[in-house]
This record gives sequence, C-alpha cells and structure tokens, in this order.
Amino acid sequence: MNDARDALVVVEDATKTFTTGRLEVRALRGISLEIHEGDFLALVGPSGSGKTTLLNLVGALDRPTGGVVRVLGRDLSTMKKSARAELRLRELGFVFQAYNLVPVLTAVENVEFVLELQGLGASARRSRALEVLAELGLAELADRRPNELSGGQQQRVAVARAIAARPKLVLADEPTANLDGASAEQLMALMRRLHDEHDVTFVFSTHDPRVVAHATRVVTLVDGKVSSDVEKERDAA
Amino acid sequence: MTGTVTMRYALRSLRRNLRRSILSVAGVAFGVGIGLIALSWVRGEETMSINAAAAGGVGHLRIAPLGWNERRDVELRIDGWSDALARARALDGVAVATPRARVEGLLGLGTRSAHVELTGVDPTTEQAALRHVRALSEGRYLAAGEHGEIVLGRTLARRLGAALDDELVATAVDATGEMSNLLLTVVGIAETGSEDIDAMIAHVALADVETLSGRPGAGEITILAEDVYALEALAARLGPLVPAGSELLTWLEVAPELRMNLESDGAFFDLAVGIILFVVLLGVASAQLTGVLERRKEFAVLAALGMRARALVAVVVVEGLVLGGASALGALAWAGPSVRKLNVDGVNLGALMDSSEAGYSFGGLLFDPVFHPDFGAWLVPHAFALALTATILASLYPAWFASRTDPANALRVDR
Repeated sequence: MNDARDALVVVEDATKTFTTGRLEVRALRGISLEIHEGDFLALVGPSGSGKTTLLNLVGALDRPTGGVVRVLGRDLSTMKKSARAELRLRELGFVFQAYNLVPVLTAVENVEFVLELQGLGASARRSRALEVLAELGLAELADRRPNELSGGQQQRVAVARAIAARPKLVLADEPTANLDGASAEQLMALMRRLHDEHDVTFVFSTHDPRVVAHATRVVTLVDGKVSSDVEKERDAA
Repeated sequence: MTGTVTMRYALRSLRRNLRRSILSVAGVAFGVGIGLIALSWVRGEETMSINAAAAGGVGHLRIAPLGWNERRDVELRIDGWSDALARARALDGVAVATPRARVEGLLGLGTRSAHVELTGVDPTTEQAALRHVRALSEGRYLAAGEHGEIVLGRTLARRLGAALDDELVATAVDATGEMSNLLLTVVGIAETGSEDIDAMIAHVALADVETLSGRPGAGEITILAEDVYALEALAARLGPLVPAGSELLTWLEVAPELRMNLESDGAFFDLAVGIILFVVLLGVASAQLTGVLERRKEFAVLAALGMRARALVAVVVVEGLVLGGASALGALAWAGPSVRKLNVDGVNLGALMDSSEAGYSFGGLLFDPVFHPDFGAWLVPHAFALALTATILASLYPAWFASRTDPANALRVDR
C-alpha cells in the first residue's frame, strides 16, 4: 500500500521460520507492508496467521529469516541485539495482552522504570510518570501494585508505561483480550485519544471486531501472508 | 546499576519468595561461619607458632652466616658479630638480641657420657630470649663473666646421672682437628616438661664454646621483636646492618618444619572451607537460577522494553550482593560468638597430643597445650569477602542466563 506519509516501518518480502527439532514452522511467508506515521492499524487474522510474529519483527524483538524489515530506517538484520534494545527503548512502546507489569513495583514505578532505563534523572522521571498517569486518569492509583488494580487499570498503566518515553510507535498485542467489554472500550478510547491528540502511531493485533472498529487501517493476515490491507473510516465511538 | 527503581526491583524480588531467600542466606551464613572458624583456627595456630618459635630459641629474626640455613653447620661463625649485635640491640623495635655459638661434643660424668650440642650463650640476654631456661627447677642460670659452668636439661642430667655442683668433662674436636677438653660445673637444671627439649639443653658461656671449638665468635644472633606484627618493617631496617658473609633469616626460614606444618594445616583448612563454600555456592546458584527461571517472562518484558543484557545481569548480581551481605551478617551472628568463646576458653589439645602440663614439643619448640583460635575485627571483612565472593560467583550463571532472555517471549502468552 503506497502512502505519501513517512514510513516508520518498511517490511519487504519478510519471512520467518521457526525450527523445533526436525519441525520447521513457516510463520511468515513473504510479507510486504509499510506502517506510516499516524497509522492506527489493526492486525487481524485467525490464530496462527502470523500476527504476533509480525509484531515481533516490527517491534525489533526478533529478526526476519528472509527479506528486509526496516524500523525507523534501520535494517533489523544488520543490527546487534544491544542496538535493537536501544531502538526499542528510545523509539518504541509496547502493550502486552497479559499487561506484564512488574508485580513488585507500584504503578508509578512501573512507568518510571522505562524512563530510568532511558537515563532520566530521579525527579524528572517521577514527575513525568505521574504526569502520564494523571493524563490517563490513574493518578490516585500511582502507589498501588499491579495486584491491587483491576485488569482494565493494569492495562491503562501498561499504556502509560508504553507512552511515557514518547515513542514514535506503540505496538499492542491483543491489548483487550483479557478485558471485559467496558474496559476494552475504555482502553480503545484512550488509545484513540493518544493517537489523535499526541500523534502516537499505534499498531495492534486483535481478534475483537469491536476493537477493529476503532482502527483507521486494517491489515488481515492469513497463513503468514497479507490477504488484505484496507484504509477505513473510523466507526463512531 | 541503572538507578533506584532497578535497585528496588532487585530488592523486592528477593522478598517475593522470602523462604527461598532466607534459606539461601542461611546456607551461605553457615558455610561462611565454618570458614571463619577455620580461619580463626589457622590464624591462632600461626600466632601460637610465632610465640613458640620466638620463646623457643628460634626468635623472630636471626642473623646467621651464609650457608648456615642450608647446611645447619654449627662450625660457621659471623664475621664482625659483636658490631652486628651492638647495632641490633640499639635498633628500635628490638626487644632482645642475643648471640649463640654451638659445638658438638661429648659430656662425661664418671662412666656415663652423652652426645650433646653445647650452646654457648650470653647469660645477660639468653633467659629473655629462651623460655626453656627462664625458670630452673634446680640451681641458677649462668652468670655474666663466669666460665666453666653449665646448665643442663632434666633429661640430659638424668642420662648423665648429674646433679648440681657435679663436674662434667666436655670433649670436642676443635678447628685444628685436635681434641679439646673443658671441665664444667653443673650450676642449674632446667625442666620444661618436654622430655625432647630437656634432652637438648646444655648451656655454657659463649667463651667456653669458643675455647672448646677453637672458633672465636658467635654463630648466630637471635632477635626478638617488640611487635610481632611489625616483623617485616623490622627486618627491612635490620637488613642493612647485617655484616658481609651473613644473612637475615625469619622464624619461618629457621624453622622450616614449622612452616611446612602451618602450610599443610592452612592448605587442609583452605580445602575444607573451599569444599563447603562450593557446595553452598551450588545451592545458592540453584536457588537464584530458579528465581530467574520463575521470572523468565518478566525478564523478557524488561528486555522488550529496552533493558539491556548488562542491566539484567546487574539486577541478578545485586540480588546476589544483598544475599551475600545478609549472609555475612548471619555468619558473624553465629560464628562470631563461637570464635570469641573458643578464643577466651581455648581448646585443650592435650588430649590429642602427647604432651605434658607444660605443653607439647614440635620441631624442638614447646607449644602450650591450650590453643587459642584468633578473634578480632578481621572477622568482619573476612565474613563479607567470603559471603560476597560466594554469592557473586553463584549469581554469575543465573545472571548470564537472564542476559540471554529472548525479548520475543514477552509477546507470548502462557496458557
């Protein structure tokens, strides 16, 4: 799909094969895709279609077996592990299906953690973390640990963690899968607000048609290939 | 370390499985405590050996002719010995410096005789340098300026059937190869409690040995330091005062069997402590690895968020350091009082050794039967050094394992 906007991610004929013993699983079979600044992109498809594998590549968590994946202009296949870690730290944010907050840290500490890894000073990172939590309506929950939060609250903290470092691209793997309908709606509304007000580019995988309704672009994967890539109008919230 | 949140993460992670952390600390504390007791034993043994050597005639330092230490040739003499003796006695830090000369010969009384090594001494300083003749069981010690007198050990006196005021005939081969004789009156009998040592004591005036051997001068100058912990510094200052043709020896060089004994004991204890610490280390490594494996997903998330491998390593190592610090305190808490009690009460080795009330002899030296393991501030740094070394080493494999975490695992959902 061609687009005049800047491409944050370029995937060209990417393949990914996993080998387990004698078994070879071809998770991606030659995918080409561009992700542009401002996208609010939903990756959809049945289980095993390659959504998570593609997110791993786009998120610089993994390298392709074949083809090219360029994230923010950098070719993953030539990057060392540490350089990919640096890229993730500085430019990308992640929201996970199972929230994956650090259980021994409070909400604000979870958000601070990423800022600390970026090298921010103690007071700067604390005020930034509190500011982001407040923006997401979590100010009063800042000192609670994950086990003291509901699923929806945990996922909002995870979003706060993902956007606190002001990444260019946020990747979310089935972010609403563990949430009830109302919490899922709240989360998507939040992500939409961040996208609209702060120009954060989102890519999320999902099975949930209610989530897809929020997307402005839907890429469908089937058997490790892109079967459709459609720009669409956002459904009414 | 990347900062305070990382530190808090490491510390709170230890509290997640408190029982495992406590067991790890207890294991290391036990191993380190055993190590501290072993160390206190070895250090106590070293102190006891220094004291036994110093008071047993070996001294802390000794000026001897070159070649004496290899051949133990009693015929060798120190050139310029009297100047060297005067300079040594004038040196700060020297408690006693005493000259000796020896000659091998026969002592005879009536129909009895015994092969002896007669020791010629300076009566004014010898008793301060040699504990064996400090208090005699009969008679008196040699007097300054007097000749033709002898002090015998009890065993030797018994062999000769000698008593106070008996006249013994000493016979030796002099420097020209001729036989020389001297009449010696028994003025004192020493009794240390050790048969071995009492069989060797035959003290006469230095001048009498010079006469018998036909070799003027002293064959050794034995020096006792005021502060045994400043021996190296004293040796450095004494070195330049040693006359040409002689050398300065330490007590370990003069008494090599003692050195070997100390070294073998030290090696045995090192090995035993090493084995204990290694077993403890494996246990801690296993516990830490379990902790890392339990957090594999968490580490994958941290790696996905951009935490570098070295920061993950730092988290695991910090956990090891905290365990190590707590273990050191635990080791000090149980082993410290134990060592203190051993130090104060002492350990009576009399039951283990063939010893008398006065002690047991080894290498011609008399050791106290009650042995006092060492106790002091050194326990604290040693406890931390041992515990931290064990826990840091135990952390390395789990830390390496953590650093290999695949961040792609973060997106996989455990079902």
